[in-house]
Amino acid sequence: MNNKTTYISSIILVIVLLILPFVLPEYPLHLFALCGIWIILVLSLCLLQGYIGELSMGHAAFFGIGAYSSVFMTMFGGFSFWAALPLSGIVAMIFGYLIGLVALRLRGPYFAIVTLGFAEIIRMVLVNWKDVSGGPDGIIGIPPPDSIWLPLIGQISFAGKIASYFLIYIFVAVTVYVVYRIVKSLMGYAVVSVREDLDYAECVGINTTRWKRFIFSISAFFAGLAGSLFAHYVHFISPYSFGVSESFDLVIMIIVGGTGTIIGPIIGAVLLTLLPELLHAIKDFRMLIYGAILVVIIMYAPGGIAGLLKSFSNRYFPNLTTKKGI
Amino acid sequence: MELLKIENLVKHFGGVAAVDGLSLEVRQGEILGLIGPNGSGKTTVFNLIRGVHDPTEGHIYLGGKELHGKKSHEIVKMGVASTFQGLRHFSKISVFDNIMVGCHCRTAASLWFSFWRAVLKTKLAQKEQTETKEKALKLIDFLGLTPYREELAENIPQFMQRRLDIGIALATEPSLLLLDEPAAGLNPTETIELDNLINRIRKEKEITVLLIEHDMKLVMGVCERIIVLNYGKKIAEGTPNEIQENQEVVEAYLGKENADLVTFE
Amino acid sequence: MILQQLVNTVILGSNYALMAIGLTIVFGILGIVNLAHGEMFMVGAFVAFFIVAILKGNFFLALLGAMVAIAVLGVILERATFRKLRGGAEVNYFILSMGLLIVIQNAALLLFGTDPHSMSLPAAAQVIDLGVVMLTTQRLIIVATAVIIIFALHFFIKYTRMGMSMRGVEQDFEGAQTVGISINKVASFTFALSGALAGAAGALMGSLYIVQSTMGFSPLIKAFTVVVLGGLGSIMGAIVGGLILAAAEIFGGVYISSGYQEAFSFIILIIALSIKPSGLFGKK
Repeated sequence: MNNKTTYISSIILVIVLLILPFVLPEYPLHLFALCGIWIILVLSLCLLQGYIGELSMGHAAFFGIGAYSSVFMTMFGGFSFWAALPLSGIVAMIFGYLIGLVALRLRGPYFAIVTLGFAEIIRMVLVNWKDVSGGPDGIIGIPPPDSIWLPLIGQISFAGKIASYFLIYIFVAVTVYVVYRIVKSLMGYAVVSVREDLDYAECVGINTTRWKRFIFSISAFFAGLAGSLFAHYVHFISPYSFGVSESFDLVIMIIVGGTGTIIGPIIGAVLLTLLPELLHAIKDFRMLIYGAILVVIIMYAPGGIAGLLKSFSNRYFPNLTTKKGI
Repeated sequence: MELLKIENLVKHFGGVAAVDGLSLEVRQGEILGLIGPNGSGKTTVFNLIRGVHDPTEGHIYLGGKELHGKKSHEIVKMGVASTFQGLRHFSKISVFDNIMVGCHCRTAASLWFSFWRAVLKTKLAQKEQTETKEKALKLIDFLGLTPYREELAENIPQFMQRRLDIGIALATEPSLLLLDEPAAGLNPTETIELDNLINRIRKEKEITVLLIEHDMKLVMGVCERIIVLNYGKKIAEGTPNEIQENQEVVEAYLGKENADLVTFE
Repeated sequence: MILQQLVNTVILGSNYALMAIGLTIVFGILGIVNLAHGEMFMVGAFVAFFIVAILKGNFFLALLGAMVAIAVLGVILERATFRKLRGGAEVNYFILSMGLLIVIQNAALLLFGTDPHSMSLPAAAQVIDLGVVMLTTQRLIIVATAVIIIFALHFFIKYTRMGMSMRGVEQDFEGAQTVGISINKVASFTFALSGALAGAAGALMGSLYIVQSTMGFSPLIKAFTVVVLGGLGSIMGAIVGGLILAAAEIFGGVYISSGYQEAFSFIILIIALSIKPSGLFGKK
């Protein structure tokens, strides 16, 4: 998409997002808010998949680490949510860095199983370490973010859905912005080179190992951030929200939405958050349908929905070339 | 004054010695040719210099510092850049972006440092980005690639892609440039342009050039000194004239290739 | 006590090996990581259960039935889906198999519910007491069967024409075609073999424990771990890896902590891959 189209659609999108909470009833609004959290999570996985080129089967673990860290810090450590939020991201990032030390030396199925292994180990720790994590029953009664005072608006309480919605989408914007800045800055060249041709990038002076670790850590950071937002939004967490099944869901979102773009995973996240609601009547068939969609997409449209849109626009607007494709 | 020094270099692949006790020097500021029949170990030598393989035995020094055993990206930072046989670059991004990737290793060293500067769009970060962009544009101009600047690398003509490969290597600001068969697939006119380019690289950028080539016209025309390899060993060394008269060299080639290819005139 | 644990290790390890070999040959020969392997295992267990409980057949009939049924399933999957992705990125196979996993598992959930079923085999109640070691007849049958199947597979690959074709494709995918080997036939056959092994493992494990629609996931992860530990594509690696993993789980579970039993397999995997990234017997 060329710049003009992007600007216009972005502005329309922002206006819609601003109006939504005042227009929608509570339950759909709740869905949108949740969707925002998935978007952050999926974008973080997208960084990993898009620039390191590997599929992590344990990404939900960072989500969980962020969630649990935030809960510990606020409920047992006396921290304010606003301190716990970035710190949770950092905790997840540290785990990401450490896991990356092993996992990033591997490719393909080896990478996948090791990320899965780490995720399972973390989940098992959370399930078994009852004193700290509350075990399989999880932790309830997680407080919403502390209310803050903003100029012109006054005191904002996050007990309600509307404020939470805005909080979440502000962070969606932050995530998109940070990813955008990484790609647009000089770092973007290093990161793209790692994606395009790892071995050649090495020979052009790019320390690919370091950059892969960087991407992996940032990816974990945002997943952790999403975890913190999630915990203080749904007020309850358990190890079962952060398992392999959830990691699979993320992979489905990315593939169905479309890899190699920023808009793709967002489409995937929206679709997979809204679909269960639309399919409420046939709830039991939900996962079956997801699986079937995944099979169909990978066989006939491996670029996902975003890929379909791209080829669609290329057919009708053949002069639009992708530069430094995000 | 030697820039690159190779001492008793040996490289085994399985049971075969691709490089078998090679010693040579590349002098500062020269254009040195490395020739020899197919399989004589030339590209392996390049791969050993640029850190793609580690030597089985022997040493490689750049300006006195050890090169062998270091990782490829470190070697590039130390000042050795190279092109690969055939065409190798980032096909799916533009010419400009390709060159910018090459420039990257000369920008802000510390990773975490540059992350914050980039995200917060600090003045320093923006300044560096503008300066790097200008460097890249100048280099693109030097190579005559300006009309293709925004094109995807895979869409430009082959001989321009060859220049792009050289350009990416030059973007890393090397003191030594290794070119692996840059004339392959070029017609005579393009080869003459290549000859000029290599001379300009040496003269205007003060870069030492080490060149693997099969195109004898180019080699004899642009190189000041030539080293001949066969079976992983050095069999001759000297000026183009001396090499042309060297019986052993002629035999090494005649055994495997057409006599015509060995006409040096 | 230790002897008993060792015997348990061999029993568990032979099962893991059986699962893992099926997974590893598909990777070694076709470059496909088949995440749906665990679901094939589960379907095999259900087939065996069906034969024993509904058709009132004996265990060996059930075993054979499971092997044949899942071999057929494997061929169907290969022809209908995996074949279409040939020539594309390896990761596409991975994603496809993930989708198949989800489809098959959820189809089973819908058809059979979550109820556990037991095969109630008479041999499972017969206990052989050797003093220091105790096992049931069924467990003995399981080890013996697994060993026989593995040997049969070994002979097959080494001495039959199809076996040689499979090895040819494994060594050089493109080259094999130029010498007249039909990739399609080899691919179908590999999946058939892989399916037969998964079906056998399903019947064996199902007879040991319970048959349930969710039973496929955990063995898949373990098989995957074994395969990666032993080196993708290596049958010997799958056997050795299976035994190592079984040992880690059993001894770790007994001597350290049973809650983290599954974690031990992963820990061993992570340590092994840190040292040798291509697995114990891996090639690259």
